[in-house]
Amino acid sequence: MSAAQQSTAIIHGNTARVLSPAEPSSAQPSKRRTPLALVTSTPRRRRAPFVVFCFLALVGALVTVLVLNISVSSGQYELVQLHAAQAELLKSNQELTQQVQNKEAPQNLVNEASELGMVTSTSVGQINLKNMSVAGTPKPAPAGDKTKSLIAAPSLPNDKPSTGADAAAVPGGPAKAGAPTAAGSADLHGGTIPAPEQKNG
Amino acid sequence: MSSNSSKRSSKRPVKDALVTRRRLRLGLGFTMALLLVIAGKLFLVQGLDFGGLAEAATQQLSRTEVLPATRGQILDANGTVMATTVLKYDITAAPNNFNEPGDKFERIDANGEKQTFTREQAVKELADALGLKPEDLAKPLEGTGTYSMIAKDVSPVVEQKVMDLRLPGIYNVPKSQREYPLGSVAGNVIGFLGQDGDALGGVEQTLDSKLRGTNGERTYQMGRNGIVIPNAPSSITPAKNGESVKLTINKDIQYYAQQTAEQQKKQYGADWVSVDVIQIKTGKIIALADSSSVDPNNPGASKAEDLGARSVTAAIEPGSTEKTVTAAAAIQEGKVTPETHVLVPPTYTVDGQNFQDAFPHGTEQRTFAGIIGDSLNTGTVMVGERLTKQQRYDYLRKFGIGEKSGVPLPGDSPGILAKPEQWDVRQQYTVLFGQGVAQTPLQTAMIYQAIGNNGVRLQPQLVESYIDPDGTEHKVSPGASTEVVSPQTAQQVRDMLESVTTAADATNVKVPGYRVGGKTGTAQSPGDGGFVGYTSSFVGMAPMDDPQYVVAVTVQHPKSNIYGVNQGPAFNDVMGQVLRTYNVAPSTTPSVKLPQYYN
Repeated sequence: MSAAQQSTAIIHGNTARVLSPAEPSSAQPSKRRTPLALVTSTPRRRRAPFVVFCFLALVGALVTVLVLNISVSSGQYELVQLHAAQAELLKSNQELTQQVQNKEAPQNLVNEASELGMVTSTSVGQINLKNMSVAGTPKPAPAGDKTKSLIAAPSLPNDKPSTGADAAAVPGGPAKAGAPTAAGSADLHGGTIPAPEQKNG
Repeated sequence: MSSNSSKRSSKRPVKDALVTRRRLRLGLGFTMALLLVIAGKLFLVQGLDFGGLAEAATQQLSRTEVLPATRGQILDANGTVMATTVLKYDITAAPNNFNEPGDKFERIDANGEKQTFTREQAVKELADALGLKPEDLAKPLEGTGTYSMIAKDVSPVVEQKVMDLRLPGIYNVPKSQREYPLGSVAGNVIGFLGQDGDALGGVEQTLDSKLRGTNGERTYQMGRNGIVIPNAPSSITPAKNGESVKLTINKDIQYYAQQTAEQQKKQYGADWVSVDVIQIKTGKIIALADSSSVDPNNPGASKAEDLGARSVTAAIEPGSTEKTVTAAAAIQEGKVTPETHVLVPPTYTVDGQNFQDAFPHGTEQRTFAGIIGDSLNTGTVMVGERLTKQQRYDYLRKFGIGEKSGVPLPGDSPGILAKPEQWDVRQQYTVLFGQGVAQTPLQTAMIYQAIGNNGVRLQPQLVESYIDPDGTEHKVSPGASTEVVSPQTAQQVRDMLESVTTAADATNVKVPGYRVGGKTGTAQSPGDGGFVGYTSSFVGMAPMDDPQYVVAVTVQHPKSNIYGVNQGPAFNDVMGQVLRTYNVAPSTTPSVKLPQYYN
């Protein structure tokens, strides 16, 4: 079997062009060598960029890890700071809630209202919208008839804490009146819900 | 020389190689042996832990801290907080540390700059932050002790101010504290906690297991420097916070009722007064007010007998308000109707027992409505004796006398109702008008609830719902209901009760715009050594065209002349307030005025 015959034998399929076996027989060996030479030269050209790529990838990965690390740890600081701010807000929220609850106590409301000159109405009437009639004989409440709550205001520990030195002293007093306003107006700029940034700053 | 050297050089490498190899082997062997020893030791230490050193170390490093569960809140029907747990601080000092800098205090201020100041300044700043005078702090801060209390129960805001001063030897001790923002309003119902956090009264005590929650636990390892070891094993069992309890109490009505109770107590110099408000269709307790209610923030200031809720603990003889039971029973059993004619003598004697009325009268031609209307004991006994003893007992039991009301309050009294076979010859008649039987003001109110609810008695309900820590609300289903009398009987009794206010005894009971009905009661109160005073009461309901609320006013042992004592105005005030609060539509039907006499 000649080399030419072998080469023709490679061709399969009905679409393949039939080559004349005699014509390229002398040129074939030289054609085989050229691809060999080319193959050896290609890796040499590719190897250098690959190393560079590896190096860059490494540097890139390192930088990424570094940046991630920094951001995580700075995030950690921020987290601690925010936790502190949150705790602080919870505390002031508790304080303000207590104040509201205390003011909402019915006996305190009654006392405040009568301080402001409100009086209890003594007579009631009803308007029937169906037949537009007024039932009862409502009269305006006489002024100056001060309602006084017979129930003592809640004795919250805030109002009268005992101290090591003097039981009569009132540590909670200024907290109730002064502290929230100071914290409130200074830090909240007149608002009601403080933003964490303002507290942090 | 050269040949010699060449000879040696040809021999030496062989020998050298041998020596080197032997040395190498020796070295290797030695290293391996050492490694083996180390590995062995390592195995002993790590694997077998002789002497329990590792365990001891773990134990030394391990810390377990309790994660306290937050106690649930107690709310009123509209969600107003009536009991809550808050964060407070005690400010303490270690005088030895505080006095260590002498007169040269130093700190880094907010701008990062170093400040120096004197002890006097430090004390003044501390006193200012706490709202005290500097001389108040002189005593706790002097000396070389290691502990003294500076201020108790300060709010977190004050604590923050104190800690911002950065003074040496000043410490904050956080603690949780129960607070009752409404004070003594519903204090008798809410109850209170003791110094050590044990529930000692009211709902706090009876529903403690719901409110309390379960403490959690956190286990971790901590190095000697006080830093948590990051990758050491740790475990957290989170705390399970307590459930919140929502009551059926309306704080505004409760306040109003309490205010009225205080006023009645003051006006009549009574021992105590209770005012109860019940929603008829549901059995919900809107207000359970007692005079001299405890302020749960400071239970020590109250007398021992004022700590509970008398409306459920005090079993007293109700008096004439019980005639409603007799009337309902007699009508239900077909013995009588409101129009039945009864010829009432000035006094009535049966079985040798003589009965008379609160006011003198001749022989009167009364209808049964007229007997109830003017609260005649004579007529009531004449009608009531038509019932057998067992029937009298059974109806009292069916109306809830002699059994606990079931509200979750400590000391819930069943009242005192003896078995009919134990009744003495007089008691069998006196139970018909509310003597010789004792019950709580709440039980009396529930009789009228049944009459208002077409004869169906409901369980009084105090707890509206339980609220999980996550906010899920679980409604409490109402208890079993009992049909005591038929709707027709209930209607007839209601007409008689309305006639009391329109035609008879209690014409001063009026709520403008609404039809009201009710019954007065004046009982002789037995005690040590016989008669000790009266119990004056009024129980009524409104509006009579579709009854919605029962208000019961009970005044125990008023000091003034008993004939001047009248609970009508107090009833009017409270009932009016209740009807307006709940926007109950005014009555549109004409009021009932049953004839009190016959000709």
